[in-house]
Amino acid sequence: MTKSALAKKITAALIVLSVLSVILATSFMLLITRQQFADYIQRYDQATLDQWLPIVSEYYELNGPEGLQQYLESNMSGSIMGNGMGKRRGAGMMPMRSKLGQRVIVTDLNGMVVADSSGTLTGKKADIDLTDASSAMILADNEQQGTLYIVSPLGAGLASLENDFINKLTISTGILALFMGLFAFVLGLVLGKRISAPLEELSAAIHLVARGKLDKRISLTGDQEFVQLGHDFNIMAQNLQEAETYRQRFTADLSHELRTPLTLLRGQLEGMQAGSIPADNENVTLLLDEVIRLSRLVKELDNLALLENHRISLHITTFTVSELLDRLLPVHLAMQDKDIVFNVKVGNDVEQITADHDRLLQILLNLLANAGQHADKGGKINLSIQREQEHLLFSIADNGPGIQPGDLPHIFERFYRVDDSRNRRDGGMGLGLAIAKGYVEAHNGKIWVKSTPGIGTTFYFTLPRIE
Amino acid sequence: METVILLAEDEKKLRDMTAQHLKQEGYKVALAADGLEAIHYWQELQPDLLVLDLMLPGLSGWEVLKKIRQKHDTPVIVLTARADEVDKLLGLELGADDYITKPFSPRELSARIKAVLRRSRPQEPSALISFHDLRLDPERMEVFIGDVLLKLTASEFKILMLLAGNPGQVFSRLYILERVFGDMYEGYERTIDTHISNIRHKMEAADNGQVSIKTVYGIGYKLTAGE
Repeated sequence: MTKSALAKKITAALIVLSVLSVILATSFMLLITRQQFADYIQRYDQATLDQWLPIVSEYYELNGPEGLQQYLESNMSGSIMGNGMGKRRGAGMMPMRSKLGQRVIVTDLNGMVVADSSGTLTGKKADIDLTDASSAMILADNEQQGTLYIVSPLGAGLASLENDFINKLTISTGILALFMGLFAFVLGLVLGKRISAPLEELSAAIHLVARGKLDKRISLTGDQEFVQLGHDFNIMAQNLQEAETYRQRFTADLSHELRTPLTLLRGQLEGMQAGSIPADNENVTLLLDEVIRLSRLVKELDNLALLENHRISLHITTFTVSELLDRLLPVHLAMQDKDIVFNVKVGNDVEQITADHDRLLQILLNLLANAGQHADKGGKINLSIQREQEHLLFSIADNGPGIQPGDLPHIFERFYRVDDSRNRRDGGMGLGLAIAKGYVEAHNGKIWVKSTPGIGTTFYFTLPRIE
Repeated sequence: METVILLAEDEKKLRDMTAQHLKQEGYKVALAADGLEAIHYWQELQPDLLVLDLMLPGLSGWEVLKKIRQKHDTPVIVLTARADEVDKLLGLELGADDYITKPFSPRELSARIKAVLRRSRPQEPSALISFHDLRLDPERMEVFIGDVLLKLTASEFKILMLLAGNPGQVFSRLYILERVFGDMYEGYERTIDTHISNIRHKMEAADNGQVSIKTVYGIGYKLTAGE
């Protein structure tokens, strides 16, 4: 089941991790313990050896193997009767009291035991393993006479102590690992739930959105990452929903735009076929107008699609303002025709413009056409071009009825019309402002609008300086 | 000598319609339905001009253009449905002489064909357009009524050219606007009235009543003679 797979994995990982860490820590401790024990025993034996070596050497030299054997036996039995002997035989020599359980063995150069504190090996080949015992050479006249071995029971004792310790440690490690595992299991369950629950919610929400239920939003709770994720999800869903609404409206608007000219064309053509409308030059000219409008619509939609995909490429050139303004002649004529006062004001420092000439002209024509549609007879339209620090600022102001605040945010949308009842012939297709916005933004400029109902509307746009 | 135009277009209706218009203009028209045919006929017929749709099946218009340009500089006018291709064409990387975007006006296509042919054969005198005693020289942008030279602006000249090229034909303001000013001046149809009125004044000043621009109420304008 995918539902709890994540929680399971987290739990398993936690268990493995905790048990593994317990085992690792214990192994490390064992290793250290062993080393410490070995080190301790070795140092202990060495110290004993250091004590015994001069005594045994001297005894060996003075009294030979038999004397040494006697000495060792008397001294190692644990009694204190060797005191006198010591005084008698070795001048200034302190009698050695062996430490409990220590065994001293002396061999000659051939490995034959010459003296053994426990007495059992004397005269025989050393058949016990002496390699582990601490040893030192017995020297006389700078020549090796034999070897002194100290067999410390402490080593073996310690070794068993060590084993004991290790065993206990292993057992407690096992118990600890078990407890840690249990703890990790519980923790894993809790943590897994904590992580998987919001993920499950998100997953369910994504599932819904993927199936087209775009109004699904998720609650923002839990850890910061999940809140952020949920927040982003909600924004994404919101954008999707808006895009979908926009698309639906666009499709509806588009078919609406197509319906009127197509109906007209069809009606006229059928009339001509039936003979009720003469198929003469004049009537065909009217049909042609509809076709021109449709062609224009297609071209503008094409442009908009390019703009929206950021696939438009600009042909940047440098041209004079006066050349650009000359191209506004039809605007002047149209304004005269409507009795609108059209003023153009250009800053003194604006002589040349570097931009895509045709696109800039199109922006101006669209904005001026829009202003012309909304200005009344005898109204005023001002076009101003000023140089600001990093850009050119264009403004197109009219003293028309203004735009209601509710309409302002939508003014640059495709097919958006403030007054839907407005005659579409006069009002254009509602693409002009959207295209203007697209062209301004293709120049990396900004476009915005300010409007006061009853006073008028001003469109502004900027073109950044292009070097 | 007949001018041969090779028209490469895969949509049959569009091909036939365009061919019809071009024949009307007095050209001999050869048709190709795909890229390979276009190359084939181009080699065989050596046309004076090629009208080439970019989206052809098999060998695309781009490839056809490339192949042709490797061998010869036959004038080529490209038909394209996509505005974003225009940029590449405009750079003339591929050496197209002109382009026209769909949907297009066949009348405009033949105007462009004329212009391109004139450029490719500079020795040929440009065809004068005349209607009664009105004469237009497209090359020098001069208009005469009888012997009187009219002083027209560039826009006025283009409008009169359009009307005189098709006397008696009614042209709507929208049509004139689109052909003369390009398609960016949407919504400024009425400005045509001003230009027409200016042309009329200049024609009347030449003091000849033979040719005049007549208003067709509710529709547009046409060039007529007499009355």
